This record gives sequence, structure tokens and C-alpha cells, in this order.
Amino acid sequence: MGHSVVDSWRHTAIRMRRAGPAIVRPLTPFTAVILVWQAIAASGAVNSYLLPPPTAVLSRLIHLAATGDLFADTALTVYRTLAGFGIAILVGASIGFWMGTSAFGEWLLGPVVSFLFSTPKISFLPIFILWFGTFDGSKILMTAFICAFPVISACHSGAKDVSRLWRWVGQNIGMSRSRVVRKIMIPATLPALFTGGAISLPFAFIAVSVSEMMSGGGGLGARMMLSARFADSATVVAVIIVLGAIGVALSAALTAARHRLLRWDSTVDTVVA
Amino acid sequence: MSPSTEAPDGVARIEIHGVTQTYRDPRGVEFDVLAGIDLTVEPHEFLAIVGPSGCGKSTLLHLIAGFIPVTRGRIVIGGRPVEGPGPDRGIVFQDPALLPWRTVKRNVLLPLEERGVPPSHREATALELIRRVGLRGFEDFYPKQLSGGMRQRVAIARTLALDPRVLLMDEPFGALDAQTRIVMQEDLLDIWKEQRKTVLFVTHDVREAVYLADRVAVMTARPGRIKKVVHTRLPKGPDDLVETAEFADLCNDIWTLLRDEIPDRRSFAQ
Amino acid sequence: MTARAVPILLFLGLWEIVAALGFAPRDILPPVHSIAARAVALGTTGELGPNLLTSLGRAALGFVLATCAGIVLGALMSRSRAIEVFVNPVLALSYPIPKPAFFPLFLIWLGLGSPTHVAVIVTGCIIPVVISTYNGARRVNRHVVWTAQNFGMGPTRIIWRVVLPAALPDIVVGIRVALTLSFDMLVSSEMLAGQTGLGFLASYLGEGGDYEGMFAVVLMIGFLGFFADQAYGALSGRLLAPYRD
Repeated sequence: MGHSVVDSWRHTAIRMRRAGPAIVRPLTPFTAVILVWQAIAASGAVNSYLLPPPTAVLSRLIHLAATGDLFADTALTVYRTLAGFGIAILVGASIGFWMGTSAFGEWLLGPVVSFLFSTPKISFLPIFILWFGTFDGSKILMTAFICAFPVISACHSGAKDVSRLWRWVGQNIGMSRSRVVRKIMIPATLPALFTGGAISLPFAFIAVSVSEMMSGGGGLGARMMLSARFADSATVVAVIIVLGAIGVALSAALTAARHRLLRWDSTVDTVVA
Repeated sequence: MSPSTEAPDGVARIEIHGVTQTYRDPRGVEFDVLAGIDLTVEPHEFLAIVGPSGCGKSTLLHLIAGFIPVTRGRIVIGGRPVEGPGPDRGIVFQDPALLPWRTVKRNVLLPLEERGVPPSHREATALELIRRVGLRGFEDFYPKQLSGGMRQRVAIARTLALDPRVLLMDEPFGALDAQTRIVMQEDLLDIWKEQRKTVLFVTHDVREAVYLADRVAVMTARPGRIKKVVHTRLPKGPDDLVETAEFADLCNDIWTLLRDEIPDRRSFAQ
Repeated sequence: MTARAVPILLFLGLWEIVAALGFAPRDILPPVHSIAARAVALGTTGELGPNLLTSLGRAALGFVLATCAGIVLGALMSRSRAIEVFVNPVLALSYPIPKPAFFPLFLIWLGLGSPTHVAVIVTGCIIPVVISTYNGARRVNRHVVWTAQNFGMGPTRIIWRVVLPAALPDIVVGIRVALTLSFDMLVSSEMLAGQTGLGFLASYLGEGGDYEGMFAVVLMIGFLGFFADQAYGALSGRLLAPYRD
């Protein structure tokens, strides 16, 4: 795929670091952004409730941590994200795999899946709230609904693309159809499953955030909306940062899992999941 | 009547009677890929098939292996007609088709697991086969870490683990570079001489066919028919030199038969 | 096309049967026909029309802004180290953040109303366009660019007439992602704190107990997204025809 944005950022940072003391002591981009931010806020050019200085945000963060709110909110958000994501993987993989291995399955579900694929699924949120209330259930299921589709698509094409030769090897060995599915088709589809999962993980995060913002019930999203109502931008920004950190952690965890479980896959070393 | 269809050690004879294979292309037009193939491979015999591209030689192997049903005709292995795929006819494809999530050892173990070989016996058998194909030390490597030639060796070991009655080989060395190919041919011959399974070996390489086989069958262009079968087993001296006059003559004879079947350069557009 | 419709009709038929025969409570799962009737009613009473236009306008504006800005930014980043060093960290840092999270911030900055919604859309949609433009531009064969420089073309002309056309297949994919995202962002933002628009209408009807209306609007939003994507697919297919072998 070529040079990704994150790759070139890393390259730049490395190059700057190598440039040595001659240049101003290597500011990694983080620090640069923060300094620029501090400068703008401090200069008074922008009203402080619009752009809170980094110091205000930091003190907010510490406050939230001290009261324990930060951890409670984070735990809830992460729990919902993982639960929704988990359900999406299980259901999505099953449906996608079935579609990829059964002509009937593909015929039956293909049109509905591809129709729903290009719809903004978050618009179903009011329906999910109607069906499942405003607490965890609707949030988790909404998330699962949104995330299932990239997984379905990936497993569908993954299963379909399994080399005919591998199946023939299984038959040649004398394996029954169910054993071929278990010992050959399913492991062969695993890389595609991970790809689908990597694509849908950010969506899980977005879905949980939006449903928390929409219907409250605790969590980081709800806290952001609450703070917004009081024009407390420092908290809003603080939570944004926390969300970013969680996002990074979740992606890293998925990449690590991929490297462990897919050691054998020829794409593992090259993919920047 | 006919000599035994099966040798005492289980190695079988392959009989192909009047096999015709018809395909229908996406537009619904029917055409014959094979037209009346009659061929017999005796137990313990190594028979090579050479033919131009598209003559249906791979299709023939797939039919014998049982992956696709025959349109017309009969295929009989060791007296029993072919009704589907099975471990009695081990096949090695041009693509090694190793399962990438299994190590070399576990790839070779797969047929042993499926055959119900007792666990205690499995490991030893697999290791022995891996040693026999020259890959000792690579048991715990993944296919992605191996070269093309090495992967093909694993594929051969895996197929031998089936202990099949016949061995089908579909241009197994076609994707390898010339040097590797020669080494693989020599090693295959060594392995074959130990057990002498019935082998049906498809290739486009005339020299390879003459080197390996007892007999070489030449196929016509599509729809494929057997044009002629030539005896090619040369007495092998201690030098095992291939570049003898007899060898060259045989290659020439077969090449002459084959040459006419290759589509004219000028009709490339077809 | 008609063959593919059969499973969908089966699905709708099943829905209608389950709902109409009372297997599910009428308010949880209204039958298809009453949803359709309500949709027509909403259209005639004038509740639907203005909200539809408002939403489409916001989505279009946000999408167009994000696309243009994204292409420009991506192209500049690919050719200028300075810009890349400046923009990269911002992109990298914001990448793991769910874009709707910026909604409360925009709420504070821009208040309730269209600017906020458009801002959320732009924020969400600009990133896939920037990334795909950047990647596409960087993958352009160096020798093509050198030849253009050899001809004496200036940097702007090179970007405009050589790099971007070469990167078009990648850009088209990025824009398609942005298109789908634009509807996602629009609906999220309107549902969260809108006073007009389809997203607002859906949640408003739901809160008011008009579930058939809510279903109608939700399905309508779904269709909009679907048709937009289909139309884009057809258009981009035609646009990319010269690129295919």
C-alpha cells in the first residue's frame, strides 16, 4: 500500500532525532502540538472557554482521576466497546463465513447485507433504543450491529477466496466436508477475520461514543455531553484525549493479537494494522 | 484375462477407458477438453504424460483424483471405479498447497491424523518422511519461511504420508527454477525407487518426462487424445549420466510427436 | 438486478407477516405497509420535505468541503516536507479519536444549528480523503513526475495535471469512504442535538411515540445512503474506466 501517514510521521520523527543537537532538541510531534496549543491559548487570541489551555485540561484530567469518575467512565465505555465488538466478531464471522461457503447463504443474505452496508447504520439508534432501552443493551447491540458488517464482508470474501486446492487437498486426504470446514476453511479465513476486525474496531468505538452521548447512562460520551451543556470545554477536551488514548491502546492490542495468532500468515510482517 | 489390477503391496493399476470430458463455457457453448482417452498404467509403473498447453492433461488428473465427475467413460483404480476423491490416489499439484498455519511437521501429520494412525506412530512416520524428502531440521518451520522447492518437498512428503495406492503428479516442478527442478527430479526418482508406487506424472517438459518415466504418453492438442506411448526406461549405469545418445534420441522422438500439436505461432490470437 | 431483489422481498414479506399478524407488538415492530403509509403522510404534511432538504444540504456541503480540502491537503503533504511535518502529527493524533467526539466541542464553539453539523461532517470525512490522496500521490511513479519537471512544469501544474490524475483511483476510494461517513456524521450529529434535519426528526418522532414515523424516517435515511453510494459507484466506475487494463 505504500507509505502510510503514520509511517511518514515516524520517519520524520526519526530523521529529526538523528539530526542531532544542531537542531532544537528533538520535539516529537506531540510536544510540538502542545506547545503551539499553549501559545495560542495563552496569547488570549481566543476566548479561554473556547480553547482551554493545556494546563486547564491537565488539571481537569487529574481531578477526574482523583474522584474516580475517570476510571468509572472509562471502564464503562471500554466494556461496551469490547462487548459490542465481540458480538460483532462472533455473529459477523458466522454470517460472513456461511455466505462465503454456501451458495444459498450468499443468495439469501447478499442483497440485504450489501444494502445495509452502505446505509448510515447509526441512524438505527432510535430503533435500538425503542427495542432495548437506554442502558447498556441498546448501546452494545447498536455497536455490534454497526461493526458486524465489515466483519461479514471480510469473512465472506475471505472464505470464498480460500484456494480450491486446499479444499481438494482435504478431500484427497479423505476428510469429510465438516472436517474440511473445521480444519481447513476456518483457519484459512482467520486472516480475513482479523482484517475485518481491524476495520470495525474504530467503528465500535464511534458507535459507543455516539450512543453514550445520545442516551446517557454513564461512560465517557455521556460525560462529554454533560460538560458541553455547561460549556466546560476543558473537560470535553480532556475526555477527547482519553478517548484517543483508549483508541491507541485498543488498536495496539489488536495488532499484538494478530502478530501472535497469525504468525504464519505471509502478510503479518508487512501489515500496519 | 488381464494381469492383476493390484499388486500384493496394495499398489494399484490405473485404467482409463474412453474418457471424454465436456465443459460448458459461460456463454453456454459446449466443448470437449478430452476426447476418448484410453490409457493403462501398470502397478509399479511410472508413466509420464506430455502435451501442449490446454490439452487437458491436468483435467485428466483431476478426473482420476475424483474432484470432478467424468462426462463419459470410466476410470478404474485397482479394479475399483472412481467415485470421488480419496486417499488411495494421492495427488501433488504444481502449487504445493500447504496449509500455511501448520508447520512442516504438522502438514505432514495431517494425513496421518485423518487416517487414524495411532498417535505414538504418527510422529515417527512424519519425521521419517520429512527426512526422506531431505528436509530434516525444518520440521518446525512455517511454509512462508520455505523456498518453492522446499515447499514442494513437503507436499510430496504429505502425499506419501497417505500411503496411496497410486501417485498423481500435476506438473509438480513447473513453478520451480531450472536448477531446482533438476535436483527435484533426481530426488523424486530416488524416492520412487524405494517403494515403486504407480505414478502418473503430467509435465510439459519432454526431458523431464524421458528422465523420470518408464513410458511417456504424448497427448494431442485440445480436445486431448493419446497420440502415442513411447517406452523410455533406459538402463541406469552407476554414472546415471543423462546425456547419452539414447536419451537424446528418445527426447527427439517425443518432441517430434509433440511439436505438431503445439498451436502455430501465427495463430497466437486464438 | 431483479434476481437480487427476491431475497429482499422475502425479508420484507417476513417482516410484514410477523408484524401484521401480531407476533410482535405493533409499536415495537410496525408492519411494512403502515410504515409506508406514515412515510407518505409525513411527506404530505410537510414535516418531511424541509428536514430532508436541510439534511441533504448539510451532508452535501460537508462532503464537498471535506473532499476539496482533503485532496488539496493530501496533495500538498505528498509534495512538501514542511507541510507534511506540520499536518502529520495532527492527523496521527486525531486518528484514534472517534470523530463524533468532537461534536460537544463544536457545540460549545458553534452552538446548535447547521454550522455544528457541517463541522462534524467535515472533521469526520476529511481524514479518509487526505490519507488516500496522500498515499495515492506518493505512489505515483517518480519517473512520471521527473519527466514533467523535465518539461518545465511548475509544482502546482504538476500536482494538478500529473500527480492527482495518477492518484485518482486511490482518491476515488477515499471519497467513497467519506461519502458513507458523511451520512454517519450527519445523522449522529443531528440526533445528538439538532433542531432540524432527518436525524433530529427520527429521534423526535421516537420520543413522541410515533414509532411508525420513526421507522419511516430511519429507513428513508438508509435508502438515501444506499442510493448515494450506488450512484457514486456508477459514476466512479465510468470515471475510472480509462484506468482499467
